[in-house]
Amino acid sequence: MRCYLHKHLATGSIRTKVWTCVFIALAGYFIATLSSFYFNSRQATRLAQLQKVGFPLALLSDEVHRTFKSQTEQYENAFLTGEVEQAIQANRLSARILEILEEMKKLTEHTSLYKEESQLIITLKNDYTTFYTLASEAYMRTQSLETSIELQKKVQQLGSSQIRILAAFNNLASLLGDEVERNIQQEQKYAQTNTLFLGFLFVIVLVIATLISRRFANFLLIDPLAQIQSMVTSFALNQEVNEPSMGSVNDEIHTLGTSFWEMTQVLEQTMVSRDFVDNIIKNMSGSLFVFLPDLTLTKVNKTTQILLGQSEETLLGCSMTSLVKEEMLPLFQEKGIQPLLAGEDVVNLEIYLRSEKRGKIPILFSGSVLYDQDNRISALICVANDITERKKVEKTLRKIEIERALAKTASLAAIGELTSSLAHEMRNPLSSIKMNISTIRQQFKLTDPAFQELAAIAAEQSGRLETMLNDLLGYGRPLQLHFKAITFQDLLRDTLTAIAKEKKDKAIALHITDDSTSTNFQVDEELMIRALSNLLLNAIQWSPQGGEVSVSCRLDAITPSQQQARIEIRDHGPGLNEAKMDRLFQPFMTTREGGTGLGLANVRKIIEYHGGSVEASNHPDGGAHFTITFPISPPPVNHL
Amino acid sequence: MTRYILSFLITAAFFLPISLSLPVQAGKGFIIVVHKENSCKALSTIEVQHIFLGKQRTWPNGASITLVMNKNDDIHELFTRSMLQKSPTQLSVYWRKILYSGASMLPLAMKDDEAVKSYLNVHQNAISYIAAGSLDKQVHQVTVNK
Repeated sequence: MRCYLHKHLATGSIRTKVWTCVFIALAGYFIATLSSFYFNSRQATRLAQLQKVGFPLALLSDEVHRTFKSQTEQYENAFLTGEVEQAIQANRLSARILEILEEMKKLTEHTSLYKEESQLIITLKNDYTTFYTLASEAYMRTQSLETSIELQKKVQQLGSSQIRILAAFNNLASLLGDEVERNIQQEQKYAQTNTLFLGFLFVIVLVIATLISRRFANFLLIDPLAQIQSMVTSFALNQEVNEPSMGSVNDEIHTLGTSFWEMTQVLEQTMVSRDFVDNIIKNMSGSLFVFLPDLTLTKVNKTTQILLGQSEETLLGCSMTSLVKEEMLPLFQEKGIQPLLAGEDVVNLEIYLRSEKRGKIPILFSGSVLYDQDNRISALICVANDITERKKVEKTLRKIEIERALAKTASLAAIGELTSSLAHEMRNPLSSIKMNISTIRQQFKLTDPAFQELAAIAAEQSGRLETMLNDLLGYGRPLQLHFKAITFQDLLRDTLTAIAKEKKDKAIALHITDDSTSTNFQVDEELMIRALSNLLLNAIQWSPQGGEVSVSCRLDAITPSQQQARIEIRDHGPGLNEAKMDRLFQPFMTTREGGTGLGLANVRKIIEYHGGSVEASNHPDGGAHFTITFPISPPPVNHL
Repeated sequence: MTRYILSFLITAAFFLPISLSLPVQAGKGFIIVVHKENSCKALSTIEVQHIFLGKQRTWPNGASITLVMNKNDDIHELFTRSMLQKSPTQLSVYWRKILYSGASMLPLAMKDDEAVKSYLNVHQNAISYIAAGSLDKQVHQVTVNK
């Protein structure tokens, strides 16, 4: 039975289970109703028999008793008065009496309950028939009573029979009347007993049906639901849930339990993931800022609170812009907020945050966008890395670099001074030699071609030596920079003017890309033109005839408040000698025949005096590639 | 109703000639007599009434009492009225009712005192009444005490 319940009911649907409980209750009600129906039917049968047999018999017996009594009274009157008419009237009642007795006999024949009465009726009928036969004859001639002993005997006999029959009729009437009364009382008692019994039965059935229904309800509904409740409670308290036992897919409660268990598993994984993420956020070195699309701060981590020196309660709800230093707002709006709101990531934007304790905090700001299911921006996830220490290190390094540069400048100045002194000392004899050679060539018409060639070589070498000495004098002298605001276009224009002849001679095509947006550069115009001219001349000289030289300029942000110019010059020549690449900018280092080796050294000197740097490399597609970078505003070194 | 009127008329017709021709003798006009060997010597009025109304059917020795009515109208009426407190008709109806009920036969009826005495002379358990002047040795008188 239990196996059956487990197999068919416990795995059934809620509808099946509820119907099972209802069926049990209905079965109890059906049993009680059936019992009531059975007992009522039995009583109805008995009452019907009482109505059809008992009552008519009682009524007929009473009637026959009364009729016989009436007949005897009439016979008595006839006997006392001698009225024959009275006797005739009395005789007429016999028919009715016999008819009643016959009717009673028939009524008792159809039931086994009145066997005794039936026998009594038959006997009575026979007795009455005998009585009547005698009476109808005797009472008709009572006028001769006093003279007829025989008649007197007959009358006496009739009198006895009459009393006996009357007593029998009376007895029958009483018997049947009592029987009816007894039956009524019995039925009344039966009805009372039946009512009590049915009431008791109803209570018993109700109790049993309730107990069974409760048992089934507990087994099929309450216990599984209690198990789910236990799972929920356990999960709420301990986040631990046992997997529910196996069940049918038709069992909604089991399905509910299984679904809940599966949900807890997913939730547990989510919670693990969340804990994991929370741990990451908590332990990440960077400061986390999560902003809503309206730029309201909605989440920060511990590092952020430490960085800004404020509690989470104070920070949450702040606007993104209120966290940034005022002077950085335009840059932050342009390079930070706008790209983020446009859905673009921001990487390592250097800005300063406001801090009551620290004033301003340099950070590298990165941000990305989080989208919701409707592909709308749900949050801006931003990370700020404090670069205060890095800034300090950079500052220290810069100081070291400056000191080194100063030292180098000092040594270079000493060398330059020595070189200038030597060059100056050499320039006077050289000028004398050069002038003398010129004079010799002008005064003495050299006819011998060999002498003419020698004289030409001497003049040329003297000139070269003079140029070298001039470069040497120029390189060796410390530069005095005179800063002036000038755009890249103006610089390039003046530079191109200076190299116009060489460019034209080699029919060089110049490809210019200017992304400087006409920004003014604070540079020494003459020196910067000289540096650019050197690089462009170098490119033109190494370019093939009719070749192309590319020049480009753009601005880079080196700090949140400082930008640098980046000028790149590329030719399509043979490229740089990789072996000599590291010595390219050293003085007297040349790979070109006739070069002094001071051009690129001078370029580097000029650029470094502007706080910039120059780099050389070979372009992947061929040709030399020079890049100079310098701040667009005067470098601190000049103010030191 | 008709029946009662008829009965009344018959009764009236029965008593009318008697009341007109025979004057009722009150007191000691009759005597109670039994067989001369009957041991009963005296009876109370109540006992006489019980015997003649069929309420006492046996003698003290257990023998059945045989009632004999004297058809002598004067004596009979005197006896019934003074001793039984009934008219002869009422007594007749009374005994018919007893007969009708089957309790007893009608008492014997003798036409006169002589017939009564003759009958009592040979019937030891009989009892009757005769005129006081008719008493002889054939019968024995029973004294009636009040």
